[in-house]
Amino acid sequence: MAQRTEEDHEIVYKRRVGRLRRKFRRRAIVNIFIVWHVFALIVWNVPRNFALSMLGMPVVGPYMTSTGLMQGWAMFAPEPYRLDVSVEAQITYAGGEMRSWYFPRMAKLGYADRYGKERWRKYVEIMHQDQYRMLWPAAVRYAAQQNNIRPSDPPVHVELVRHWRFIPAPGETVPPMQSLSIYSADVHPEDLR
Amino acid sequence: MLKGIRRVWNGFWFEKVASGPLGLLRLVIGLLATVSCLQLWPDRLAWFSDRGLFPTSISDTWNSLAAPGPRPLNFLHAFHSDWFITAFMAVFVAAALLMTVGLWSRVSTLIVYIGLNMIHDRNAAVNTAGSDCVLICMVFLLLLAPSGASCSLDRLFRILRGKEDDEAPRVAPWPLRLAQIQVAIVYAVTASSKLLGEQWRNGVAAYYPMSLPELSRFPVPLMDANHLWFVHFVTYSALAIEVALALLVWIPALRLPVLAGGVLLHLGIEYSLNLPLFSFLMIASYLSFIEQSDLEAFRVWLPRAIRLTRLRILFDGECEFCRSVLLILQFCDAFPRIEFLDYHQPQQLAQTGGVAFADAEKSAIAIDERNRRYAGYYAFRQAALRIPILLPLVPFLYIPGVPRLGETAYKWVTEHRSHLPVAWRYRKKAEDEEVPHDGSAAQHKTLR
Repeated sequence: MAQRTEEDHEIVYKRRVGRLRRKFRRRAIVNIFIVWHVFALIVWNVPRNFALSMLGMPVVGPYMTSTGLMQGWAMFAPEPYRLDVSVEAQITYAGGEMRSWYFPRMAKLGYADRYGKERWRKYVEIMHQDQYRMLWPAAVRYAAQQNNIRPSDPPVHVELVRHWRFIPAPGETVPPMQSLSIYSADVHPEDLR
Repeated sequence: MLKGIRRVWNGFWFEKVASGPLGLLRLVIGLLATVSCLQLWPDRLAWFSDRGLFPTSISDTWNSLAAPGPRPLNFLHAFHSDWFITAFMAVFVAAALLMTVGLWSRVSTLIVYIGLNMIHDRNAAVNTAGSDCVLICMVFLLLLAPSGASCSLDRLFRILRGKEDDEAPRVAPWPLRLAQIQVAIVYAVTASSKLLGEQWRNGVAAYYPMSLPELSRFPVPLMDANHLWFVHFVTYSALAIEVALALLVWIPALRLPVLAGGVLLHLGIEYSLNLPLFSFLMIASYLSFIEQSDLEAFRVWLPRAIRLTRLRILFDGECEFCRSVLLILQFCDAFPRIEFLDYHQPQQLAQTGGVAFADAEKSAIAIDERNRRYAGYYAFRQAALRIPILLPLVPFLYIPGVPRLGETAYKWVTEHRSHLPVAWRYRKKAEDEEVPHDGSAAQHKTLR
């Protein structure tokens, strides 16, 4: 077996040093990332009225939105959701006939269907609120599209009606549903495409 | 002092650990991402097209109100034609499936991550009860980890290539640690928010979601005014478990009991409330807290609990194809129930209780714990009964007519095994043997 020359030893030494340097650099980067990521998670998740959040949000906000990590975990908190709500679309056809159609209601679906359609509950939970009225024109259009069943008799008008009641405390009588028309709009042929 | 802190820091974030839990986390999260996307499929145009319920202009307004900031992966904003949405969902499902099985793990996880961001950025309003949030957080951290190190086809291919053996590579745990911190933050935020609520402090909060027709799933007995003690019990238990998952889970001795409490909590939620995938995702995220020793203990406990018996299989150790199949079966044998014996080795043949060499030569023979023997196709069927990934196949293997087809197929494979593909590690060896150093013509049988 050939003896290692001085030069060989130097090459091996340089390689080892290079490897160690690369490892050190990589670890330094990972360390910085860890500290940054944990800091961002904490700033994002502390209540918005905390000084840390107010000061840190402008710094971590762009990181959280661009990575998709914006998160909210206040589920059923601080108070559990108590509103039993559904939204009905009352559709008027060109021929004068009226039809009632509901955005999918979990309570009316089978167990398997409601597992796949849960996003509709979330949608109705948001859409019925006055502060999200920006969603109503699209909701009207969608209801009209879904109920455009006879080409000769298309929907011409849709009215959105909110039905709701609050779940009472244990032992109290369940109140009747309340209803309120929240939005109505005419449907144009281009809406049905 | 500083040295001590540095040692603890490096130990926590960088001291290499077995990659089993990481691989399992990737597998389960990939599966749940697949299911999540399949659930979205029927309503994809309603949620993501401009003709649907959430046109891009509204999406922009929503995003700027909910969480203003850059969203560089919001590709569905620019491309929202029906065909693009359908193609995107198809690619997403394919990538999620690849992530599940661990094929091209890095790339498939990256595609899933981008896909989840595209969905989330385009329509954040219908984010289901945090499920999408949990998915993105976990996939983001999996993207930073070598998640294909274990429980993956990537690893199987490395084994077949001869680059890895029995032991899966060890990995730096920092992405898993970040996942642990993420899980603890989830529970810290939710528990602290709940403690501010009057209904939670009064112990009746659990009653309301379970009474909402739109949210409840199966009826929960005793959840009524006549059994307020039960309502209190459920409410305070949920709070206590959430606090424990935020704080006590870090104490090594309490880790497993706290996680078990979390599993119970989420199974209860899964039973009583219709929050698709959320509970499964949270339970999956606990895998970040699981250590290899826990997995090993589970691998020993489960076969005992379900009385899954051992099997010995005699194989031809001189057949490269058989050895290649053996590598695959060994990889799939998650609860090591199968012992492979080479009938060319007299001492191994002797362990089979009198199987003759001539019989072993004809076909693979499986011997169960009662010394019952199964040959050929039936040996494969016995192996399938013990290999988790093959279990879905088992009912088909018992359908009348299938055994006959199986026997024919097995016979064909036996007759043609010298022409069938073999693992790269053996192929290379065979090629080396084929060209002797002296340059004379190869006398060895050729393997493709």
